[in-house]
Amino acid sequence: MRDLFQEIFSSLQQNKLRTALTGFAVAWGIFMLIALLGAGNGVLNALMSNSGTMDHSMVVYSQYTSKAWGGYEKNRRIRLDRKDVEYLEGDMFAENVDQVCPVVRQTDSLVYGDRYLSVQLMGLMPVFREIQNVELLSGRFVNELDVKERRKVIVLGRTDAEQLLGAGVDPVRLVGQNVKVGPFSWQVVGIYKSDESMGGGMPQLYAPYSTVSLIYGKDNEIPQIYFSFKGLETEQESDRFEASYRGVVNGHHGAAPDDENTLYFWNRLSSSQQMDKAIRIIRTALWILGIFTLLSGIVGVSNIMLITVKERTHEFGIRKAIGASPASLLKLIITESVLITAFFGYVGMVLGLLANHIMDKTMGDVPIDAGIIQITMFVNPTVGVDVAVKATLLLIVAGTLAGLIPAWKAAKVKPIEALRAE
Amino acid sequence: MLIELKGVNKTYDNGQPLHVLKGIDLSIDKGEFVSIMGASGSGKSTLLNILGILDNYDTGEYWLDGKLIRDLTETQAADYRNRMIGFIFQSYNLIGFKTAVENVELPLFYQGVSRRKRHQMALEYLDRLGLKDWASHYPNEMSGGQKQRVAIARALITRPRIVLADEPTGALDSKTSVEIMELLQQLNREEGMTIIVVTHESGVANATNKIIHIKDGIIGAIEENRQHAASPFGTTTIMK
Repeated sequence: MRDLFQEIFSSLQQNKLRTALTGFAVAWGIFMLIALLGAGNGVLNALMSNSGTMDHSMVVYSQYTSKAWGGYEKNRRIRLDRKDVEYLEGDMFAENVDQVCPVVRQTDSLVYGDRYLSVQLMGLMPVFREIQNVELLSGRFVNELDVKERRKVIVLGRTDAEQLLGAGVDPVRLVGQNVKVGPFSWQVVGIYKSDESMGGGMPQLYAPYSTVSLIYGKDNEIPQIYFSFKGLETEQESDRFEASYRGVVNGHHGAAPDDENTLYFWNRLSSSQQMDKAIRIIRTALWILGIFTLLSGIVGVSNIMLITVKERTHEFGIRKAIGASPASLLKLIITESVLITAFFGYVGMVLGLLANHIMDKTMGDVPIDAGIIQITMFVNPTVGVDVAVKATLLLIVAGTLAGLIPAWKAAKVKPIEALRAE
Repeated sequence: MLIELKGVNKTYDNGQPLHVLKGIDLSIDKGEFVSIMGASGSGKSTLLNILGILDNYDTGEYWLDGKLIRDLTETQAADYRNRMIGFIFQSYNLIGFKTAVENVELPLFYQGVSRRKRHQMALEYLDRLGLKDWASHYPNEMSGGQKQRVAIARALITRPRIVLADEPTGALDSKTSVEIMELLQQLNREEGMTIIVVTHESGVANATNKIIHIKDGIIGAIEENRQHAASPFGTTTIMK
């Protein structure tokens, strides 16, 4: 074995340029592959984290009728009420509906000291927190008592609180303070973690449903119903669910049973399904690109192998004349190629992983401000070491297989012909 | 007989068939020092290649040391070449990226001899040929005569049954040529080595004990040359 390595080492030393070229082809192939997969993974991870946590919530918005029915003209506004909420909560949809929360919205201005913000006041129930996975940073959420007693309490988003207090002040200090929303004074009872990546324009303040409804004269109207659902895994299932609830609501409000315009459902599931599709496409594209990159590496290796074998035909002729068997020549060529590809493949792999690390450090998790939305371009742009090792092994195996044919030919050529070659 | 050829025919077929050897009958005994002489294209190199199992023949029989050399696999042929035949080429055919001693070791490497033993043997043979100080030099650092002596050491190290030399002095000046031929004579005389030299130079042939003239693929004459008087230029010079 030591003899074999010594043979190879001396022949590699003899052919420095060829060795360097082969090495470069291999190292470059692996480096590009790992850098590419790393960058791709970064984009994919960013897409997934930007799309937010996968929750199972849906929002129903009331809209207008699109058909005349039961003596009513079309384009009549549907006003959801307590009864529509109860339908959702009732046995009829118990199989799919978990928790239900009516929401009323009102735009107003928030004033604190000499600062003010345009905000959207959301009147809601305590259960809203569970439905939307609201994360509290400090204080408490709206509770049952707030709703029952129509307290003027609000929960503020963290970035909004920061804007009110100015830079460098801990937003938590706002808890317990009074702020003015519209003509009234409200007490801040909690700070929630606002989701930057969702964008979403106006700051949202959470307040008791009953208070908002009373102050702004909403007359117990329910423009939106938030609810969490379960079991609706496919598009067909959620379509069926939506249709049956719409049917119930249409019946209650005297709209045509098949009028599809009365309600609008916003469903995070279906938008995340679309996201999944996009991710799948990107992932497939990545793999195709990766495979072609590897392929070019393999072609590089086999190309150099071809030249090597051609260049060394005379030497092989000498070796054969003094007693080298075809098998021993084959072993020599293949071992040499495996050693080169393994060594330079390893170098390329390490460099590729290093490049991923640098990408992670410089661009990873850095949000890019796109006006109203902040987008993170790269999240954890790395490849698992297992993938890197597998790719390197694949290149070694494939490169060797590709080199096997010229090596086999060289081993088979008659010594007299090999000796004649120059 | 060490070598026995019976009606050996060889035709090259490169587009147009070329009948190179037309029925060669030849026997060479152990310890003979023979030259095969002929003009270029006479088939002498082809004959040597067949004797060296570097090339195969079409019809006839070739017996080497009691073994019929016929339809061998490459691996078998390589093994016979390794154990029974030592080659000396016109262009030395040393491996350029190996030192002299590594070149000499190579046949033993293919026999699976241990590193230490083959290195020691190679140094011994180089010493015998007066090249001990050149052992770690590369071929391109040596003169033609030195390179050919390295090649001779490589041919001898496996203690072959025959040594085949294809124009061994073809690339050397006349003085070195004489030295190399004297070396071969000495090998034959002192160790009883069977040596077959292919040449077109009468001076080289004159150094051998028997001259086989080959012409147009058949053996023309076999000339005993014990007195070494076959060359018109005298017995101790090789005319270049």
